[in-house]
Amino acid sequence: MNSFIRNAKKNHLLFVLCTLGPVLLLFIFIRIIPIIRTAYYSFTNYSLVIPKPALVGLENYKTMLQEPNFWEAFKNTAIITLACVFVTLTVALVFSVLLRRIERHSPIYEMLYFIPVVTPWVPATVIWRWLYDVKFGLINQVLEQLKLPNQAWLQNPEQVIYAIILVSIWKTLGYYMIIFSVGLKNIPDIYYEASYIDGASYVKQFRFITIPLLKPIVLFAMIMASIQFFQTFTVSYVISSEAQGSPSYECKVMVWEIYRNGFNFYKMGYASAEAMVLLVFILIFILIQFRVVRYEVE
Amino acid sequence: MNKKGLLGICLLLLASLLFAGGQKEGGAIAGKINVWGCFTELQKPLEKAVEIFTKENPAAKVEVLVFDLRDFEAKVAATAPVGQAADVIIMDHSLTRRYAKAGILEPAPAEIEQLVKTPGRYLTIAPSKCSYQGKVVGLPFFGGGPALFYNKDYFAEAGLKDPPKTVDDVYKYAVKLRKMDASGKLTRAGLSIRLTGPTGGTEKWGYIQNQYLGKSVVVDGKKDGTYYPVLDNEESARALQWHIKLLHGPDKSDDWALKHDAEGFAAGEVAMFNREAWVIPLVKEKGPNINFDVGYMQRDKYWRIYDWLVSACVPASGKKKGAAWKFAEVMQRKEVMEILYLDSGWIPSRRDLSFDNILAKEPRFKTFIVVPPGAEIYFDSTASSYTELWTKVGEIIQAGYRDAGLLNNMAGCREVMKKANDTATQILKSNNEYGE
Repeated sequence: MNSFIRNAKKNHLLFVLCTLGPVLLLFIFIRIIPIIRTAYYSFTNYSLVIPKPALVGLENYKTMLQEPNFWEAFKNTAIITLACVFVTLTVALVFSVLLRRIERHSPIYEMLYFIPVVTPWVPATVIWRWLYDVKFGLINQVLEQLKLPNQAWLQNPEQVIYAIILVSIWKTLGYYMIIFSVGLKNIPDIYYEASYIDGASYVKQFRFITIPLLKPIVLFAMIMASIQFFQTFTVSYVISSEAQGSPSYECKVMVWEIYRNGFNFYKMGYASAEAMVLLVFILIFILIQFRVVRYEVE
Repeated sequence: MNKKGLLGICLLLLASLLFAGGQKEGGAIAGKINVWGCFTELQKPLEKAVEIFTKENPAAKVEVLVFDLRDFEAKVAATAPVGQAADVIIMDHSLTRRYAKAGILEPAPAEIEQLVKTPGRYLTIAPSKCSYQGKVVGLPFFGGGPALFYNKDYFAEAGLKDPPKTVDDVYKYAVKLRKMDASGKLTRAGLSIRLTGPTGGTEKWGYIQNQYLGKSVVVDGKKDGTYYPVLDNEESARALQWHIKLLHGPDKSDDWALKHDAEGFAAGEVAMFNREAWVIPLVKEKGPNINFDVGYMQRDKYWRIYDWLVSACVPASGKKKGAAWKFAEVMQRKEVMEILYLDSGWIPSRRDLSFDNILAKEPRFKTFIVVPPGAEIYFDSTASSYTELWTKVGEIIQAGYRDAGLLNNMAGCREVMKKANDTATQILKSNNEYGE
């Protein structure tokens, strides 16, 4: 045993294999193999009720490109991601900067903003579903008080996407606020004090001190938020779920489209092709973000 | 006593204990079975079935899980093909066929087959809907098609007495029953139309289309297991136009910004709508002040009433298939059926039992079980691509509803129906199920 440890210490590679090997194996088993299998299935006509799938080449990909539902889901997902990433991160950054100015009370506000983050997605969305209700919803009640017409927030295809965006922002804002707050706390006060003496305004401090020093955190937040919102599913699914026979308009998003084709229509091969496209798209999007923001960080 | 003797007695005792533990009491069933139901309202009737089953089989344990329909479908889809589903799955006839075709369902044993084929025990069409290639794969549990729910107070207010009998009458009644505020905004739907949720949208649009065309959305082809759509025709376009006129223009009687369906009816925002019997207990609970009655599905050239069938099925991969079929049999008992009827509102499949006590308590159920002379019962297609087809056709129809440009535009409606027909054809072809 002792000689094994001595050898391991001498042989760096062996040491790394022994310590990281099990984790790597687990990662391969639960992440890499499913991705490889999904890639394989995307070239087959695999259906949940057809035991032996046959290879169909690029057929699933060809069908997907001609399928309006795929493009609708892709467009909706892109809109939700761009809107949510931009608004959530901007508002979270502004709020965390403002909170820094009231440092004594900031934990209370941070806690309040963090409550939606710890609320599970399903109950949080159900609450919003009621807020959006055409008759009893708080939002329409307020509109009624203002003598404005009721809105079919969840039945109107043009409005439902904004309803989803609002829920998503509300739900995730607190998380990114905390991330930015931690980043802000790591910026030494001395920079702000020096700039204050030099007569810099709050805006200039924000622009020339806060933003540049916070860029690594912004990069991290952008990547995490992009991945999160590209995979949005629960809000769309729960908001349009049926209640006594009156469901909402189904705002298609990519993951729902994958789920629907796989588990409702049983077209696992086709759903796998959609999953592969989503994976590649997220990877490309993240790489672009890395390139753009990391270059500036360096 | 020496050590060997003592050891011998101990072994004998242990063996007798083991033997006693493994013995089924009076041939009864032991162990646990799982049951999955496709609607949450099945909880109470299934609990009753569990009570009877465990009383008769004290060593048995039953776990019941009920879901919303779409979640249920996804759960079964993910588990049944890999042998991880429940021992008893309660599902509708289109799913039954789909899973039977894939060899996932166990053909029923002789005694169950005998029950299903007993004349007069079920609706005449039921045995064929729970069988695949001549083999029974499910035991009918419940079903029931739609009827017209109408608010009697609103009828009285509009000077209307009896429920509308024809498709044209429903239209006229809807216009009379709608309510608007001073600004002209609709505050009550004359007729609640299924405007969202595409799968149900196709089905409910089909209620009207069937009366014009005399055929369902998709019909059987000549070869077994083949189907073709019948959407690209004048009658289907008329059915679409009928709905569009109730959504746009001077006769507008429904709007997206109103509550819909059973929820809207219970909230008093809907004067009429077509739905199944489960609405009765729901409205009694959620809208106790709603004074309502039920009338038959409206007719036109044809008089067709939709129906469907939900059966208890047993997966071929199940480890306790015998116990599962026994449980399915217990689900057929009158005590269970009565709770199913009264509590969930779904119509029990058994036609050989008398439910007079329930009909006396709730006479409105009668409309759902007595088929009027001249009316024909129809079922949706059993194509294995049913969900995809109904969903995608429904998306096209409901997009048509939103298009005010289709008002009084029959050519536009024909185009929409052609698109729906082409989509349906393509789905059937891609599933190797197309055939005229």
